[in-house]
Amino acid sequence: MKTTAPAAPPPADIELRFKYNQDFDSIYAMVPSNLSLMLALFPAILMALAVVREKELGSITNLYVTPVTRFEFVVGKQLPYIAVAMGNFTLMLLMALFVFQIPLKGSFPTLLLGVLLYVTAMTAYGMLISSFTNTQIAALFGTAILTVLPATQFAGMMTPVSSLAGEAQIMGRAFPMTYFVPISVGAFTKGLGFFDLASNLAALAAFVPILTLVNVLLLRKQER
Amino acid sequence: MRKAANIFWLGVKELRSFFSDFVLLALVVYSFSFAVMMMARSNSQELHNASLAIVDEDHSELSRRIAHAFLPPLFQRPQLIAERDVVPLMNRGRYTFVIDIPPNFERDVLAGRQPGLQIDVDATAMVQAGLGSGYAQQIVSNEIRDFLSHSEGAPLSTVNLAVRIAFNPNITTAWFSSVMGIINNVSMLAIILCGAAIVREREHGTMDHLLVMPLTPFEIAMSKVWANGLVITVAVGLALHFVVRTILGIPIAGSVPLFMVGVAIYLFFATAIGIFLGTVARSMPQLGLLFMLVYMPMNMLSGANTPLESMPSWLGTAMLASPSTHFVLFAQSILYRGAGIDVVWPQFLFVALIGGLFFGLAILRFRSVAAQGT
Repeated sequence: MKTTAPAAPPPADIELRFKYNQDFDSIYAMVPSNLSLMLALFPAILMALAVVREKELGSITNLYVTPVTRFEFVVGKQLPYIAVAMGNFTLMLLMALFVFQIPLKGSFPTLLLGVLLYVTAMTAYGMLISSFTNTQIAALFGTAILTVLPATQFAGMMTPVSSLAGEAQIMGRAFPMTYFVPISVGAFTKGLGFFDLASNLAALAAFVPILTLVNVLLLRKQER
Repeated sequence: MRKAANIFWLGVKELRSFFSDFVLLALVVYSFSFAVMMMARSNSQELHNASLAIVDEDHSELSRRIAHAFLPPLFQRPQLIAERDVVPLMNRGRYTFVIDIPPNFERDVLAGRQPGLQIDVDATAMVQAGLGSGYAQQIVSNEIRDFLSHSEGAPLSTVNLAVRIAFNPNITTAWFSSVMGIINNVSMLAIILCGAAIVREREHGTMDHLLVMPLTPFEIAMSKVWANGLVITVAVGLALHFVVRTILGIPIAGSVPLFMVGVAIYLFFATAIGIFLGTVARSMPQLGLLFMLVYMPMNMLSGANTPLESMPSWLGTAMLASPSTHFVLFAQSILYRGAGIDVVWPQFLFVALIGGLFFGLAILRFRSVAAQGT
């Protein structure tokens, strides 16, 4: 637009500086946060189905009749899915680095530790959903509705959790992904290391024993 | 006639197994009530309560005015921080915006020396950074202009720009996000319920029972479509009336019955996708993975979250082939802009065509799967 009168020079030079991402190019934020999204959905869904499947198809009897403890069942069931999720992560990391050309500016060991804690928390979250569902349909729909909504809307993927209102913020704070998005974005795009991300790592680490304990308590060793 | 009776009774069987699963029922109620309300009230799509800090190295009248100009609900009350804390605090994501007012800023402004003022934006908080940086810049420059006009009586602007926002005068995102939340639920529920209904029959071996009866795959598939479609249509109707209109108090401009017809047409498509995936997946975990592969792009790229116009043009064009995009389009025109059938019929027709195509494909798959057994 042109103005006819010469505009007065602005009284001050207000300069916007986009930190971490000078061109404000969404790919540098979206790839690390989508990685978090995928690692939230798949482990939780697979885990919930794995347990409810046994209930529905009857092989859960193995738990009832053998001297396997509830703790052994909860942890043993999770381990293969944690391994699968780590495999997923490796694949997505390679894609981020070589297909999307997103540099990993920060500390890789920190990211790896974060991922390990995170997928452990998410499989435990899936197992929590399996404890109150008895059919695979309910488990699949339950996990979908209880992970997709908080993950895409309330976990800081689009909007920082501190800006959300009401129940959404509470739900965001209680969801492990909220603490992993800063780790993923921090390690990839902000170039952060262990000490910058320590508080988020600690929060993620806190989910693991709490959820495991709840899962052990909710698991029935006897059929109702 | 016999065909219709078969389809009816098979559908009733489907409804019974749905209503006997109380957990599933509770989850459906949750997803159409509390989940929609939470999404509507979350303000996740607008600038709300953005975190802001100010490094005030000037301590002048002007710098205090700038700090006071940032008000809720758009911004949180600005916190004063020291310059050395800027980097660690932004690294932790504590503040999305940090305004750095340099020493002697006020004096330099008054002297006309055009001093620099820096706004640091955490560009990894995409939506907020994008919306908020414009606002922040505007607020600061308005405040400086105000300050100058008070001290030297600068002329007022000669033109007054009035922005009129059509169809949603207060730009409340709850209007938008509540209905989009319902739409996302519709796709999710339709695909999962229908797909899982098929996979369950296959896993339990009851599909063989059905196939040895004098029933065609068409009848089996059709019964699942109408039964699950009915459940979801009723859920959408109730959610629109009680949650959107009564609890959230959002006015609906257009005809709800017309919208429900659209929902029914879209459900025909979505349940057909569910049946198709149900014939591809051999177990429920496979269905879960396939569902995510299909649902996530359909949902995230349908225009319910980001307008099609903001996508790369090839992607926007490609998404026009997806009925979910058309569903979002006609939902917006009917519910917000009060469009009638004369406006939305091409979209209805398109969704019905693609739905018919997928239903045909699903029946074909169903036949070949049934022929080879599980």
